Amino acid sequence: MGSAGADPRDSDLVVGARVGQPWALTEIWTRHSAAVAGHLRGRGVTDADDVTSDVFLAVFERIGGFHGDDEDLRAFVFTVAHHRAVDHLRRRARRGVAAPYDAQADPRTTASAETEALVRLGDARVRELLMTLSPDQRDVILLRVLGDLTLEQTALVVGKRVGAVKALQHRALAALRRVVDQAVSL
Amino acid sequence: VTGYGDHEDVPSLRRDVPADDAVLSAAGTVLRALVQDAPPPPSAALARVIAAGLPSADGRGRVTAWAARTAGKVAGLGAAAKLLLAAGVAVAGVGGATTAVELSHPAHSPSHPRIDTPPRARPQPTPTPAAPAARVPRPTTSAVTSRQRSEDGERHPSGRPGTDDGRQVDGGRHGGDTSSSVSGDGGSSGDSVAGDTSSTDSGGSHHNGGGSSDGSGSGPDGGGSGGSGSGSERGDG
Repeated sequence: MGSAGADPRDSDLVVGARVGQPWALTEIWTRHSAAVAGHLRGRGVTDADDVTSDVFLAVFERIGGFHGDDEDLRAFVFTVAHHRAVDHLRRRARRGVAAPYDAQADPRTTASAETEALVRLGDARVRELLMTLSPDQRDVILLRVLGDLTLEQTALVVGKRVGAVKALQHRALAALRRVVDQAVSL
Repeated sequence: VTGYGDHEDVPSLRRDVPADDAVLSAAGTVLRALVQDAPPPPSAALARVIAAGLPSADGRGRVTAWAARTAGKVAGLGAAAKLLLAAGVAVAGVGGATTAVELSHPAHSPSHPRIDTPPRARPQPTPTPAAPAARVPRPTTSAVTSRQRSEDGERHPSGRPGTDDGRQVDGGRHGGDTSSSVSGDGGSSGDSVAGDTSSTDSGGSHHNGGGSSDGSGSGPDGGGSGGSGSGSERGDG
């Protein structure tokens, strides 16, 4: 799984962002903020929108020293998001604050039987489904799916080796498959 | 070693990899329900940053921004393109040095008034303590100021008709490194035969002149040509 081909303006985008050009910052926000917010929601961050803003503020503060293309920028953004989510969840664990998740309906469906089964689980259960995974498995799945990161990029973000990320992904998918099987049998 | 080799029970997972792709795709379809179509509303602080840009961009200015963009574009080039670009820069530098030689050479022509000054003595054998009188000719040069001495140094490579004779002197006294030996080749002809080698070594000799005359030479080429020009003016006056 990888992202689509690079936009011809990607190099200009990164260069422009490094010198703080507003158009470049806006473009980065537009491209990645929704995925980051979804990633944070999947991680269980309650005020995902606010934390997303914090993530991008941190990204923009550090982007002057960033080197790479748009693919690397995406990995960089999700690295910051990952760390912010960890910090947020730690703070929330200390405070003991919890809030219900209000997921929106997803109009995008496919004809796949497994997908249909998963969709039948209901969007409200998506996060519950994710919570059946271990935190590491959840991180890997969210980064791979929502972050659209490669295995190598995911390994860098979570600070593990590629082989360990593969194993975590496999176990997460096995757990999801069990849920799908149960849903199909119902 | 398997692809999943860092876990003890990973080898048993390999046969499930094809199925993983299907489940990952299905899970992706579902999990993307977490992603809204539109970006979330930014916070006030982030909105200010996005609207106005980073403060550092204002301080660095347009030149820095242009330099950063250019550097980014160069960084995006391939290795072959970078080599080609470097070769172009080198050729341009050689051409600039050649031009500097052509422009500065008339100032050192034999018709120049300063050419009448006696040439510097050839290297003398190191005098022994028993014969201190061997250094007697030196006071004539010691009376010359350091500036004049440097001007002499300018004139030597091309001022004498047979610079081939003097190139060893130049190379020895003016710090003429390896280029000084080549300098004689280019300066000896002093004509249009001067090729790439003459241009480069001439740049080196000019560098000596520029550095000694005004000390403002920013580079071998620019400093050399500037130094030679100022030296000729002083000579006329």
